[in-house]
Amino acid sequence: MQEIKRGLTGLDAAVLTCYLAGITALGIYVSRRVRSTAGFFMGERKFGKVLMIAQALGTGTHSDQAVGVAGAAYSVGLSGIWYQWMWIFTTPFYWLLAPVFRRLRMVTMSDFFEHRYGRLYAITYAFFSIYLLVLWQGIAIKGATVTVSAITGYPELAIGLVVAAIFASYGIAGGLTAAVITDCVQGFFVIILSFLIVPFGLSAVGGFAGLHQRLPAGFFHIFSGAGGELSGFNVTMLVVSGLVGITAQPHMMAVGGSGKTELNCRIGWTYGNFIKRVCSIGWTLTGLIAAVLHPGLAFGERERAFGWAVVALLPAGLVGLMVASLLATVMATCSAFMVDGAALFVGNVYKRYMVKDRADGHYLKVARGASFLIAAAGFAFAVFMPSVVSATVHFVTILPFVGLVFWLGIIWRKANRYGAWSSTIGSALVFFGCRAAGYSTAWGSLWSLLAGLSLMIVVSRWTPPEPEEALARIFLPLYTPVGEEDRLGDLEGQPRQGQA
Amino acid sequence: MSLEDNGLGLLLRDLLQLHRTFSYRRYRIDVLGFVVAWLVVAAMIAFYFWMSRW
Repeated sequence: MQEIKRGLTGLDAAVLTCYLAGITALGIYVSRRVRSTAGFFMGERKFGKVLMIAQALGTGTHSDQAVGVAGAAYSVGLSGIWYQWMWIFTTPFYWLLAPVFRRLRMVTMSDFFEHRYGRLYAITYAFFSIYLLVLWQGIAIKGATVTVSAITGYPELAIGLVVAAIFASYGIAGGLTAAVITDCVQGFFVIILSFLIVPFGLSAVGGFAGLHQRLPAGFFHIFSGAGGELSGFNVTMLVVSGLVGITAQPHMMAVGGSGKTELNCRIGWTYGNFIKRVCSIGWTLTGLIAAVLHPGLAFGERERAFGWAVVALLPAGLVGLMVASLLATVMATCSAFMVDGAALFVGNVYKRYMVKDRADGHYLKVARGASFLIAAAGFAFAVFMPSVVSATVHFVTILPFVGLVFWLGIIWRKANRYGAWSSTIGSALVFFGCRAAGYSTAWGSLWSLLAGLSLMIVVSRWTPPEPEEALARIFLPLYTPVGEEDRLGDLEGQPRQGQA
Repeated sequence: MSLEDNGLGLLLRDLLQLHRTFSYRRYRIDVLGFVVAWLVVAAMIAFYFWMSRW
């Protein structure tokens, strides 16, 4: 097995330093215009199509995905792309979901749950979400630092510290506006990350003909066989779970609802994710190239293939560019998650129940402080987390417990808090019970979703409905397109749920 | 005519009433964009299949 000398040349270090300094300066420059919590949390809802696409691409893409797909392709060939492309079947639904989030005219997902299902559900969701966002930050930082450390030879701790310090500095200063504008730059680097190795790698292996000559024919089947890890049933349940669970992700209100118009939100969310699907092709080809040039990695080590390809194939200067791209993806994701976590804490806990009726400037300061603590917690998770893959799988499977409640809250006016609690708790119990009984994740997800749906319907029908004024805060905006705000009056003056 | 009646109706919000209230005019943006997005999905998968034959 060919061993590669790790480390950055002077040119690589210069490229990387310029990138890190430049992105920090850009983020802090943007922060000069942020003077309110509305600007900090939602960018004043002024983002155009390009920024919305960049936000969806930057927030939704991080280097552990590239490393994971390349590793899967290293083992199984072209069908490895389905670890990311399973989400391709949910992407058209983002077109339908985006205007829902935009019309709600809320800041966080917890705002929705408070109006729809009461204070207790909202507070529970807020703390659950902050925990999710911190853990996802840790996953993203961990994934990037492991790969960058493998490429450069620098300690993971030092890399993680630099990454966390940079995204925290511009995120704390400029909130979502800084995160989204830097995403524009970093989205470009995501695309670079995805395709930079491919021309060098294809040249080294003799093009596509060389790949076909040196890899088994099965590597070029785009679907793996039934019963395999990517069988039809498994992929179907992952798609369904993903579609149900996407609405429970705490950053979705920003990703789907911070555009200036409904069309901006639709185009941004949908086509930002389509760009990510295209990038997956580059990750897959990188895995195939590594399988030809660097065979013999054990299954548990296949995710080292991407880092190996970077060091082995890229000339000096471009290694630095690739390292910058890897870091760009994680900083884009983490800055947005940090701001979303701060919004949840300040808007749904601090301002509501701890310190009320202060000036907006006070809450902006608290938001910045909360952002720092969330970034620090994410860094701490990255340092102590043993495995990226297990944490990621765990959270994808539990999101539908809450996502189902969101979907039904929009679609069915009779859904109420009792049904929501029953659905969430019941679907969780069924899922973990199925897993304990030895059923696969796919079968557990199926029974869990059916249980959650049944409980929501049955319990909601037999318990008191939600108050009409609370339902009005949800459904009146939903029937009011952006641009007809004169029909709404003062939304924030609408009564909130008084009881848990 | 309101924006809602002129193409900006939401399919997801009205899912349970569509059998009574559906009209292409009312849900035009949702329907068109959803169909186009599925065409993009089909095109990407077709491209990937074609690439596997290179």
